[in-house]
Amino acid sequence: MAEKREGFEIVKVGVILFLITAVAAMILAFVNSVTAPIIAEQETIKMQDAMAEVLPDADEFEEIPLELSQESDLTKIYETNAGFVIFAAPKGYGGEITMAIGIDNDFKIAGISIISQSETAGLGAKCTEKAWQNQFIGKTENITVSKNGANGNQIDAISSATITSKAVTKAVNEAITAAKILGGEDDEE
Amino acid sequence: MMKNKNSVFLNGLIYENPTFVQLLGMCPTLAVTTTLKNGFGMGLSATAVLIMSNILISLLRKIIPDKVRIAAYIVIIATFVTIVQMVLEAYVPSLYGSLGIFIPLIVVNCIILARAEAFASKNSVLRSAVDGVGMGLGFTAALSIISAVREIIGQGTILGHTVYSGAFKPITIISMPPGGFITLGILIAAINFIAKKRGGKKV
Amino acid sequence: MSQPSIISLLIAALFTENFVLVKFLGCCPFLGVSKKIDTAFGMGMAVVFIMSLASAITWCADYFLLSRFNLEYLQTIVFILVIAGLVQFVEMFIKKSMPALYNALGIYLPLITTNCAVLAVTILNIQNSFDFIHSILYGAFAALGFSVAIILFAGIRETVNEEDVPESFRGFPIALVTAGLMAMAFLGFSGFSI
Repeated sequence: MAEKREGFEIVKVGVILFLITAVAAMILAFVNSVTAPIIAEQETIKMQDAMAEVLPDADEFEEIPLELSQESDLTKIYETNAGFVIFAAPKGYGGEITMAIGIDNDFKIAGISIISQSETAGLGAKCTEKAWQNQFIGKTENITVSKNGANGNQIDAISSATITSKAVTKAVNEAITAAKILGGEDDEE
Repeated sequence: MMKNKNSVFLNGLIYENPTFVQLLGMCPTLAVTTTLKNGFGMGLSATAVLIMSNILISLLRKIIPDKVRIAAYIVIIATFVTIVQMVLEAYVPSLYGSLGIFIPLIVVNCIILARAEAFASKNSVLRSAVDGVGMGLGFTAALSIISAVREIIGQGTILGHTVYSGAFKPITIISMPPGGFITLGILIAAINFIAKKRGGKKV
Repeated sequence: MSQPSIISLLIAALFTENFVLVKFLGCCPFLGVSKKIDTAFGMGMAVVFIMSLASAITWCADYFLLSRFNLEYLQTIVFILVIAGLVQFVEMFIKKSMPALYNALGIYLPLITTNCAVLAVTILNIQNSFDFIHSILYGAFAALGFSVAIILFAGIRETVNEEDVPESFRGFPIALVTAGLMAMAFLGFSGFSI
């Protein structure tokens, strides 16, 4: 008799736990169905904003399907009437930095924009500041990072955040190389 | 009765402050308190989860079998955490981005499970809700204090506005991981010092 | 996504991205179970064991279940249930079959469910799109990083406790400041990558 009751207890416990989990999963499915489209839309808006920011003259975007090599920092390439918009995710100090790079038809940098980053607050996080990003505008190739006064194709490193500066610069250089290859300039290395 | 609820509330906010007195939930306390916005956002997210899970667990306290209560609590807490996570991602994406992995980790924040086990499973719905508000706000207040100190000293800003610049340079290390440990250590020592001066109990 | 080399994964998990001192994961046991080197060692080993196993199982759960049926939003709830269940199962299992090991690790096991490092590593495995082998390795290495930090920390705390510390700082506050100085030392590894 006691054994029977114990068996019943276990079933009861299992059923209650199962019910709680099932209700939980249902609630989550519902909330997900509400928020998923909003999240997707925000993602699109973020990308469109970044594109408009780095290459303001462009109005037609066409994604170029690419097999990117595994070492590449680049994630997506769009060809436009005014040049290329290239998305990249180089690895910075605190994780991936997702960014957009605009390259005009003369293969000059038209602008860069950091979409998300998790660099050190107060140091690497300064890569989101326009004043620093604007240094890239007009540069053409093999950009390097300088710690004491930039000239030519150099940019000033963010002080105490050389890793962040180099990561962003590396992605920009890769983007230029990719744009040149795709844009038909033959002198790529 | 009214007084009683007040004491439950103040208990969480001050006398048994989850961060400064009970020393619970250290990971988010140290990790996301680099800026006031992050610290405050984390505090409110955890508070929301804490209030909802306290209410639901109190409601179900007679139904949940004793043997599997921890598993049941975890499921309930994880559900609310996921809801908070999805809502943040949809409506406050910038906060979602900067809190990152620490949002799902609210599930294992000891404060929430501890309140479920120690309070909500034994008290009425209303008292559990008040306890959730008190503890949650206590956690939020603690995180806000730590993050405000770290943002001012480490970056010279508060909520992104410059507080000082020029002759004083921000001490960047305070924004970085070591600064998290050291700031919290000094704040707790300061609270001990004040409590001792006032003849109160030692933390 | 490319898979990192094993050496760089190891160095990152042990030093440059140490779970406790750089990423602030697993702080509760780090501060709570670090008064003596022995207990710190026991906790460290228990975490290595559970984190490797949890990485393997949650990777399978994600691969065969969640991402296959677009149920990613159930990630948190499934992973934490897997971890809680795993901890309970391992506790029962080693209690029966390996009493010696149980005596050494048993008391730490229940604490591991709420060690956020375990849940964090399982989520990070998926976020980093590691394959099966790399997930297990990352779990093990991250746990080793945790162990290194907690054992070193316990060693320092044993010494600090014999010092004459200002009264307000005694106990927890001085431990936090100690951890801060350790984190500062680990900051020296940053930027170091292979």
